[in-house]
Amino acid sequence: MASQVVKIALAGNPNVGKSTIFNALTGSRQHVGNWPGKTVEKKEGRLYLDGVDVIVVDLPGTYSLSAYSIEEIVSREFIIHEHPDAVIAVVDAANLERNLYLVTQLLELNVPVIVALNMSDIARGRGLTIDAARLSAGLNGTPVIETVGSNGLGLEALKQAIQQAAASREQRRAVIAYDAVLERELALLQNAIEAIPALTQRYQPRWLAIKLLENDEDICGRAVTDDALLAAARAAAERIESETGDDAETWITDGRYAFISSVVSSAVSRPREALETTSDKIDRILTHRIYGLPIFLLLMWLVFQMTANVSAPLVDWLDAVISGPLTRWTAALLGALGFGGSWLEALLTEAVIAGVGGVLVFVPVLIALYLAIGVLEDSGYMARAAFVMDRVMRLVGLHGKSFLPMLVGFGCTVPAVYATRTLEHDDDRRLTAFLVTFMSCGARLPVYVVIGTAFFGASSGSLVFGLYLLGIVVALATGWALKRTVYRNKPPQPFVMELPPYRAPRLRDVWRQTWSRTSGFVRKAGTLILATSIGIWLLMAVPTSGGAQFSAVAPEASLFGTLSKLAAPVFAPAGFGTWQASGALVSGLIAKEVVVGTMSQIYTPGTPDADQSEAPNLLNDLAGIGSSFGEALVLTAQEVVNIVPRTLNIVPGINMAEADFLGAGDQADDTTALEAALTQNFTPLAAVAFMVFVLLYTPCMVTISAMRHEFGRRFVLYQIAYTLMLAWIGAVIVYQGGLLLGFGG
Amino acid sequence: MANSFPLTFVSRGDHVTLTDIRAGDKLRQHLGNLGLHIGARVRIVQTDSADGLILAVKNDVRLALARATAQKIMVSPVEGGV
Repeated sequence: MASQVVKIALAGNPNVGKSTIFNALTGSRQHVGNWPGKTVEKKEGRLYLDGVDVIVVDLPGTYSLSAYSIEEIVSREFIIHEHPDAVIAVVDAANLERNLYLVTQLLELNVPVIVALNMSDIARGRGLTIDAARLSAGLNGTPVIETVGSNGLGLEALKQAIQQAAASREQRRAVIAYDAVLERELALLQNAIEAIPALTQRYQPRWLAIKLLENDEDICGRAVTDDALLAAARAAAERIESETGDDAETWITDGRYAFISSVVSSAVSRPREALETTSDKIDRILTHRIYGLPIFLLLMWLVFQMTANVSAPLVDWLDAVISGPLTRWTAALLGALGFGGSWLEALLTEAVIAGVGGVLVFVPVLIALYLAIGVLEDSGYMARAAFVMDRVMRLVGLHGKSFLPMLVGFGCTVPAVYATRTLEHDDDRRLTAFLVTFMSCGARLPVYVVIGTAFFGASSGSLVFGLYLLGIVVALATGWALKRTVYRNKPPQPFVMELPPYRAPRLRDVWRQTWSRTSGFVRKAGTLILATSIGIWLLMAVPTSGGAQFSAVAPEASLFGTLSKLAAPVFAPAGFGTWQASGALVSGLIAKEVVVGTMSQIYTPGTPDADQSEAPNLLNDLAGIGSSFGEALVLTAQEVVNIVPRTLNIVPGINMAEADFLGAGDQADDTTALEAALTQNFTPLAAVAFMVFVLLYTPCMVTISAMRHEFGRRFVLYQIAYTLMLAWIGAVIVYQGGLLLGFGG
Repeated sequence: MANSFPLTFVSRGDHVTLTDIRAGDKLRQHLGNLGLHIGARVRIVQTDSADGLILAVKNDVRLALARATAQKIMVSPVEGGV
């Protein structure tokens, strides 16, 4: 038995406590990734049992193994092609019938199944008693282990069952006997399948016969290509329908439920219960056709506050630590090694640290977002939110759940892209992710504010508001257009959704989920961003005229400046065809707020962007990091408290003061020199066109890498091409249209 | 079937049984997986929610359906409840 490797899959309906069991089995030895070629989360963990190395694969939560959603196909393909030694089916005792539907399908696949009968709090609260031995007998001897997710009861028994299954690899056949007519046709099809070795090597014949009769999209369209067999299946289905008056599919579903009913009725005794549960009472308000929407909007506002404001102090702190002490230490270390002032120092501090830092500062934002989403998901509200928003989002061809990513996009596009994970269907996810980039993220705001105040002073507020509005309009119009072109053949997903009972969120699970999602982003995005930062740094370091030295060259004389000059004429029709403007836009690919930084570097050289009056020593730095972290925590708490006044202040007539723990107030940014330079180099109309371009053009590279991580390279290329084109057209329309209307001055 | 009507014409607390699902194979299969197969008995939990209604299947599972989907499901009343 030494060094034997056993593969176990964990299957179950959504919300049955599957991840609790997965976590309890594998502890922290987990790995999160995506399924090959699919964007469904794949979790794998390890477990050691007396010298047996067990790989536990957490399959996506599904209701069945049909081909309705990508999750179902992923789960099914794993079981068919990876031949796990056993599948643990986690079954919620509170929903036994529906949960056993998946179990019967697993049994039909002829894979060894272990049923983990999870007595959820809800099941116990209802006073259900389930006879595990009778359930096991009803399922043809499939082991049934009672577990209680919240206290780990049954875990040892489950481990023993895994060992037994691994040792014996005993296969069990489901005993679902279908209607006689159906059985006759199944037998015929089974014979036909058994004559084709290519199929019997991969599939269980009876299972395949059932799938053929069910007219399973994936099987009939892809897996089985034998025309004679497909024709035989169609003929069989027609015979069944003409003889019985109902189609084969109905018979199969009915057969499974009839089997389940007989198993359940012998094993379960339930007390008479109140028809209306507490959850129903809550739903009467939260999903109400009138109150539902305002409540939803209020909750989304809170999520937005969490991501945009509560995380901000920690973001600022990380940013300060990375651009301050960390950069200084690296420079000092390199200086001590004799590389002071060299290109290596510039590469490490300007590209590597700045690039990786650019990713790390997103960590607090993502954690805040995932915590908020996790609480909404775990409490059961997310399903209601989708229900409430469905009608509104459907107007532009989106699913109810698309609202959350769009809203999060106002804070930051990166978590918005990841927030699309709550959508079940891949097309909905792609379309939503495509649109979230038009929501003006927090990084675009400084660009609007600096340019806006330079040209329009106090009235820039309505301009900024107009830009936000324009982003929303463009997103809705793009969604409307895509739904009629690219996604034309994808009718809107009909809305049917299970509403899990409400419950208090389990913070451990929420945190684990949050952490695995956040760290996944950091690992994946880090590499690409590092490479891009180094690339742009190189462009700025390589001189194009003689005399200048590598990495010691004015922006205008670098390859970056030269390329910007080449690109500049493209923007002439939009009114900002200068190399400075196009250079700022290129650097904005790193992060949109960099546009302002680059402009101040180019237009106002000589004003150092960091005060280097005296170099603090290591001890001062460490103390500074510590105290500023403490300050950031206090500010985070302040932001949490301030959610209350900010929320109440929305109501007209209420004006509650916001808490100010440190008495710091707002610091004025020193941008006056830049503002003066801007008014000399742009006309007001060109400035507006420039802002429109900044709003619409290619999202920052952190977003791009997030999108690539989620949807692949092709999607990202389309996104880049579309946004560049749209931004250019938008800016040109604004500029040329403005000239025509006489705003040229 | 006689006395059969779309699921949109029910009131809160009604007990009905599914008689027909007028939808494509894929949706029908998905509904079946969720417990909404022909012959299934359901109880209407809410009718004034969002744009649709909430059903109880086997008294345990709560399903939310958009009105457009509910229109495709034909039901007939059941005496005595689930």
